[in-house]
Amino acid sequence: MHAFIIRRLLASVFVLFVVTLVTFVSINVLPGDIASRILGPEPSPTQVEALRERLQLDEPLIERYWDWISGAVRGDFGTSIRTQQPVGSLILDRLEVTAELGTLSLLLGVLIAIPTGVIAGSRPGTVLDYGLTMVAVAGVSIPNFWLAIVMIIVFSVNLGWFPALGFTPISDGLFPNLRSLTLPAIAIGLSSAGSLARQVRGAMVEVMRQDYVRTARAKGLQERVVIVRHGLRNAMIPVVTILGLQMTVILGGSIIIETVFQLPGVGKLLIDSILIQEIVVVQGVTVLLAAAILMLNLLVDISYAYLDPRIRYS
Amino acid sequence: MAEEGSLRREQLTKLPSSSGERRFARERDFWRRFRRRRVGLVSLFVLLVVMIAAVVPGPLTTHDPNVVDATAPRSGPTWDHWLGTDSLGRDTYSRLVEGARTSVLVGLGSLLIGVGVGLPIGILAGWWGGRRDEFLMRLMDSLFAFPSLLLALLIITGLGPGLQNVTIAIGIPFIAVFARISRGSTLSVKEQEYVLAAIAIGASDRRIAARHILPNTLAPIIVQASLLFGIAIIVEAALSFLGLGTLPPDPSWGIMLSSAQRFLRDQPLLAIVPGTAISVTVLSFNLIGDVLRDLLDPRLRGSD
Repeated sequence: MHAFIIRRLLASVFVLFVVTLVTFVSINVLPGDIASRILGPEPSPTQVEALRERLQLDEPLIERYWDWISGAVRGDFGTSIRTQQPVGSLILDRLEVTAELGTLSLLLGVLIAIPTGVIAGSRPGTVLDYGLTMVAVAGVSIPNFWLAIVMIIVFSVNLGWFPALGFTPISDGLFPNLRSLTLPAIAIGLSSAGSLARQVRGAMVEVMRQDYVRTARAKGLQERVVIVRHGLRNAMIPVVTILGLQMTVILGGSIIIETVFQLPGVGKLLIDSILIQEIVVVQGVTVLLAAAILMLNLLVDISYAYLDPRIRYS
Repeated sequence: MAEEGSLRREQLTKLPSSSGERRFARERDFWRRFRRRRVGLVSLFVLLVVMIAAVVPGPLTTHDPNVVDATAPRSGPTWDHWLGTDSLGRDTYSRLVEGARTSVLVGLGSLLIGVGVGLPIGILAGWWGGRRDEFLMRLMDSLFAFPSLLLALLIITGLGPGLQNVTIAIGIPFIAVFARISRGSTLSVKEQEYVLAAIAIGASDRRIAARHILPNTLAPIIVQASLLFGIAIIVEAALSFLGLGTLPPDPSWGIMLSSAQRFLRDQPLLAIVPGTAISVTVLSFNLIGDVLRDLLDPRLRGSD
């Protein structure tokens, strides 16, 4: 087990290193003049000079990368040009919203996906299975930001049940807080539930074909007991890995959903920073999001190896 | 069942002799089974309509999509404007038809990048094995660490918005997907006896790749391409929605959705129309991808 964890940890460190390279290269090397993009179409030469100085654009690329990465390792991601705040604390301030939204979305996704997948997968080929699978495919196909807009039209504009925009922190009361996050969490959770439900169904179909399920039925167990004790418990093992993948879906979803609902989270910080070309902030947010996804996937892999010993030795 | 029985008899009595005849028989068999999937047929029809709108939008539109009708801004559906007009008085239906081109162009372009770069990487990694394989695959893993929207946003930050840059930004994350698939098929084919035999008789690497590896990796790639086409459309719409994708005057469903946001209270139709178009198109790609997977994936064969 230890060898497995160390091997996976080393692989993750390498991947994280490449992630920082990809991030740095995308922003700094791709053909596009940062200075003119920040300053607008016709900046004065002195303005450009000052900015190039400030962003250290005249230094060799390797040196700039080294400066950035050695700072990042120590937790220093640079300083925002606009607000003069350290990027690290800018992100920390926004983390609460994104973490809460992500947790709620994941919870919602799992709560919808598991029953749906289990019901469909334990009756493969029936009309019910077919219908639920179609709904799940629809869930994957509908863009979450459009779903968000439709929900705003129905539940905020017409019915007035939820606020259309904005975030109420938990310090102002749990109920208003949850109310401000309900629609965003549904928008992200439903699209994640679609893909998750399909995976659960697939795993369930596979497990229900096994001999031990036939044995359980043959000894006269109730179908409900067969499904839960023999089917669900074994089907959950492959589903755990998919949860890692869901983190990517959910964090990716939060970028755009936070923007639609004007929630002050990390995703909105990213979009705002791209729009005003705050390169330092974009770099910091991207690397932190990717690192978070890598970490979560590592945890998922480890728990998977714990659940299924065959994985450790492959 | 009766049909399958007779099919089998036919195959037994008249075995195809040449490779051309064999291929023809295989294709005929594929279409026979595809036609039985109603979902697949409906999806195919939807996608054909979208493709026609993308290639020749002219005959389908009722108005010039960029002409401003100042007398009728934000009108509801009328005989003249089937789906109403936007805030500038432009015909929503005609703009919808025109927007299909952006989605299709970005989808095709990004898949071309994904397959064009990913396929050779995957085949080489699988064929070489060892350290080089390990290195290439870890590189691909790092692309997987980003949600596709995040990586696309990052590349857009570097390149700037616009149709061409959006296509590149969406295509790069796809490279990892196709590399992984083609590596998998290469690994499984590499150890097969017919490949060992080909190596033994001195076939060149290029010949082995073209005759044995490529045909085996084609089916999963077609399936994946169909599913990723849908993702490309969603990401393009998302980027344009955020103002970081396609730029006006290029029409895009994402831009239509974004400008509709200001009028949700008075004219929700402006947001509902482009969103429905995106959803139905993506749904069709996903459903067709599922049907293709069932038909092309040998492991599931015989289950339908």
